[in-house]
Amino acid sequence: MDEKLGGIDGTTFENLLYLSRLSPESTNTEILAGQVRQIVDYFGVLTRFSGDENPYDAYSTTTEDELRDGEVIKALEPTDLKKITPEYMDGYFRVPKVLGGGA
Amino acid sequence: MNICEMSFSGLKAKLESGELTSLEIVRSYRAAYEADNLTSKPLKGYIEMYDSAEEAARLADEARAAGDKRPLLGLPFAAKDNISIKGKSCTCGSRILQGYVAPYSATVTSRLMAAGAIPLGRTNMDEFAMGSSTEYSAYGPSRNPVNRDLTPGGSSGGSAAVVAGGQAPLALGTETGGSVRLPASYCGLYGLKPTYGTLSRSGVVAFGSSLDQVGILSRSVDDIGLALSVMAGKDPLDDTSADLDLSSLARLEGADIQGLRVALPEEFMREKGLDPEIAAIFGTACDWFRSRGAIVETVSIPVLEAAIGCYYVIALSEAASNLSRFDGIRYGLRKDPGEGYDELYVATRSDGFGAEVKRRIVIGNYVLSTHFSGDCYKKGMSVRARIQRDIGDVFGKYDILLCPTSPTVAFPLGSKVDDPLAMYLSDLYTTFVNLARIPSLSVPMGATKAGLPVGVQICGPHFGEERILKVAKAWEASR
Amino acid sequence: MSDTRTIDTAKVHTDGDLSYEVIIGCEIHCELLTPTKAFCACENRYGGMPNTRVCPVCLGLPGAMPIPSREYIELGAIAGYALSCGINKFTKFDRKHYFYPDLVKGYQITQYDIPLCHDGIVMLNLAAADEAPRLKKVRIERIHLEEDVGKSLHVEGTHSYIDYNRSGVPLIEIVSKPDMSSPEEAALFMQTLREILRYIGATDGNLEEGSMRCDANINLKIFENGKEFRTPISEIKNMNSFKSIREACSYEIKRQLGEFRTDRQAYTAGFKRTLGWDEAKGETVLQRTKNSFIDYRFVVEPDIRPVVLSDDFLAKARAKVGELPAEKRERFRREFGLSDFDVNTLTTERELAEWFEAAAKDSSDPKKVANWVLAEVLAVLNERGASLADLKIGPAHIAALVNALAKGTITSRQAKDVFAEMLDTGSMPDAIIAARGMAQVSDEGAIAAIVDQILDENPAAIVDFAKGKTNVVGWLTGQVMKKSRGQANPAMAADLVQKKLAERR
Repeated sequence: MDEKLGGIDGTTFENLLYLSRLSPESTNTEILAGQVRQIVDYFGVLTRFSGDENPYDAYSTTTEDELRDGEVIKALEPTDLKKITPEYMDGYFRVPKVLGGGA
Repeated sequence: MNICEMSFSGLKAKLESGELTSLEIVRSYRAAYEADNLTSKPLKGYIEMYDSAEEAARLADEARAAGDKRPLLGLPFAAKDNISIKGKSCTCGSRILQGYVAPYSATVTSRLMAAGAIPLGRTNMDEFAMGSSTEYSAYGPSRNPVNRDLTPGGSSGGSAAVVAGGQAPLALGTETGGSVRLPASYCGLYGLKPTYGTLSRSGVVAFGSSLDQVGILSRSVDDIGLALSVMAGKDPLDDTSADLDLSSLARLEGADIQGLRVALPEEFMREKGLDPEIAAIFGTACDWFRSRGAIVETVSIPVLEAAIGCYYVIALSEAASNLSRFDGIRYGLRKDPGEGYDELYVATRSDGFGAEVKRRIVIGNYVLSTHFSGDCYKKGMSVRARIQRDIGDVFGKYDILLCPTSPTVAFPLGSKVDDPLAMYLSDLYTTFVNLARIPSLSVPMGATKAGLPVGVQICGPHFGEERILKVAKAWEASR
Repeated sequence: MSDTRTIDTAKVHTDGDLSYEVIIGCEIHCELLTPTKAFCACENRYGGMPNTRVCPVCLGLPGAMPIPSREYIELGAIAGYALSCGINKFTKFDRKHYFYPDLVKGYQITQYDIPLCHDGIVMLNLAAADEAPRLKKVRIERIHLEEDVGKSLHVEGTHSYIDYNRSGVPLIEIVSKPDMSSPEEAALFMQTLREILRYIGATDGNLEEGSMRCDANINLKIFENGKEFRTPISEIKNMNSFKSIREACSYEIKRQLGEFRTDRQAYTAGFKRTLGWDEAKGETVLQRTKNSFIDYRFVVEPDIRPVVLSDDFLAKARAKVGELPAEKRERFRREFGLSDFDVNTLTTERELAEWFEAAAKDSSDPKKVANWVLAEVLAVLNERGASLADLKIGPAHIAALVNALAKGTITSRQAKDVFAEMLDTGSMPDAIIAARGMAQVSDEGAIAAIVDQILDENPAAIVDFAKGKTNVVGWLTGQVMKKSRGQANPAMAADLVQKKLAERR
């Protein structure tokens, strides 16, 4: 797929879908293109208003006093886990075969 | 008396005086719900009404007889389908959470239940709270009780529909960019979005974590104060929850409007899409304040022009991130084509998510990927910091800020569902509140000639819930 | 004073017509010894039945929110100080997104642009255990906090099985600059870090249990015909033994040289290979095969407020570091005059070093204390598979034993008996010596009296001595020892025999 999608080219679009773990058939590209275009327009507005504000000022902070104490609390039992999925068996969550680590 | 038209606090008084039992109350709502389901245009506000509610009501009545004096004993409430209640399904209006039953309760619902309240059922919503009309729900849309061809608003449309439709006295919703205030406005209810951090988000399925808050929809200001007084307070399970005590809100008095300094954002008044009837009703509201001695002034807040852009950049990024955990591995829907785990992810998510959710995830990932979008997200955070600063400055000089909740009234079902961009503009007047993390109460201040409700927002500074509720109460009392 | 000048070991090697330098940087993941997991109150422990230490947070259930613990951040700061890092007072968390079944939220909570610690140093001692230290400096780029993921159980068939007990376990990731120049240095880096981190109680360093894992980034600078080339970097992931680090890096060096000779036109700019080490096959294997467009899309973790650490908190963390192995070794050399081998062996574990030091401080002969600890105490521990805490004796016992020896109260042979008994009963040496009447007589007067007695009983010996038969000294001393039932100080007895013989000529 090669056409420009409101500012995103075909490969980028494919990569974005893969990053989202969604199949290409699964979305209406026309509507998506419109939404992308709009977001790209918003970038312009943001540039006009963003200045020297420290982005981290948008978040409140805390101090070490408020951090959690290391008290152990037992939460879920195997019976709870059986209820949330049928793929929990013999103590493990069953998944298709994986190798090594992911990152 | 018609139980289904009473307020939450009204019912509390009747329970305490012995005029009503909890069982009668719960049965009334059940009857209303079942009757409504038989009509040609049922509200479909509830996804599920709990069979367990009657037994809980019975137990509450017994407890009351035995001397239990808990503040919400026997009072039923509804909760949006993205707020966990242990042992109940929690599906966020989505197919991808089919079969997921919450093994723990959200703190807000735990606290209500610890005070004796009874969960009545879970309400319909736009899938994962992404939408403004409840039309994006996997269960289909809910209807507006005022006019059943119209949307009740969204994403907490189901919660608004059940309260306005007499099927619950109070409902919890959630907000990221207006999803409690908008439905409240469209359905003629009070809808509060508290200050970010007032109510714990533990157990509330996340959409935009730095914006989300649980909200309350009701028929009276007192109801909101009562619910808040029980739910608010620091939660060790939510690091962003605030350490505060709102127990005094259980008994609200009306504020003295004399000398109240009221700010009107100039940028909103100039909005072209603002329905002239709404503008007129808003004008009337401003007049009411002036007549009571308030000082009402327009104030220019230029950065508000960037609010919607800032909101979408931040909300969609956080949504793409928060929805990464829905993968079919540990709970919910699993579609396994048998070709390995990556294919399982793609199949499950493609099948389980609705179209609007998928689009938002893709765009959210676009924003998150600096590779593609540069420093867009950082700019969004920067603008947000500025919005917070500028709004803070306004509250340095004014006590409350007033503006319409929505540029339009409730619109016909199906009219915007294929035009998500038009849908986004419904959030025009609401998103700055979430970005600034301030509290805002949508008050049903009037109706159009066609009888469609119009809401006006009373916004306050951080943790100014008491102030805005008291102002609203003064207005309510004057009606 | 030992030689603590640091050395620069970047060596140029040759391989046929090529000469090359090896460049290695390591990333060490280390599980922290906090009582609970990083972001929830589940117990932080190894082993046990699968999925028994899980909760909504570490399972990534909808609506569950992360809550960092104080110990987690504190231990991270202590580790930073132990590695001479600067600590960032404003510390925040970020999300790193990727999809994998062992990663419950579809993102890992980590630290991206503002790590807790930055710009540290580790000194690697390249010398053998019995040599003076030869130190090489390796710079630490950063240390950041993150969380571990679940563990997959692989069995035959089409499925894997996941245990999430490890999901959410607190980790620090220590990233070095590419300052190492050989597989041995890379292994030594891991070893040195393990020792330091065990010293400060940050980790148990149990490599078989996966408490520490090493990723090595390795490439070569190759010189050919006066031109310089760089091979693409290989990242060898998840090595959990010193041996595998050495072998994997050695293998990779050979492989990269080979690839350079035959395949270098396939290099693309910025290309980085991800590999695993197959111990059985003895080779590195490519890990990522499919379209792996990877973009971690780092974003601030909105559910955890950034923490501003106070000066007080940081000062307390710094104080908890205590004396590190290198400093302790230097001090033991200086204060106790011990050999390099002894110093190195005594300081492998902080517990042992402190035990030894307590004994040494109480005694008149630290060198003897060192001998007893290294030869006898360690032997017992090894034999029994025990730890110091399991023994009935403490530093005071060894100190007292050595002091008794030094005073001459007992002989070395007797000391061995006393040691055995005190291990058994926990009694102090003086009590044992008294109870068994072992006290060696070192009172000159008492021994002199016995010598006189023996000489009186053996006039012939005196005559033989006068004739020049000096071997009677030994025989007479033996008689003195017999008469004193072995309790006379033999050296003193021999001395006195000699003296009195001379007097009685």
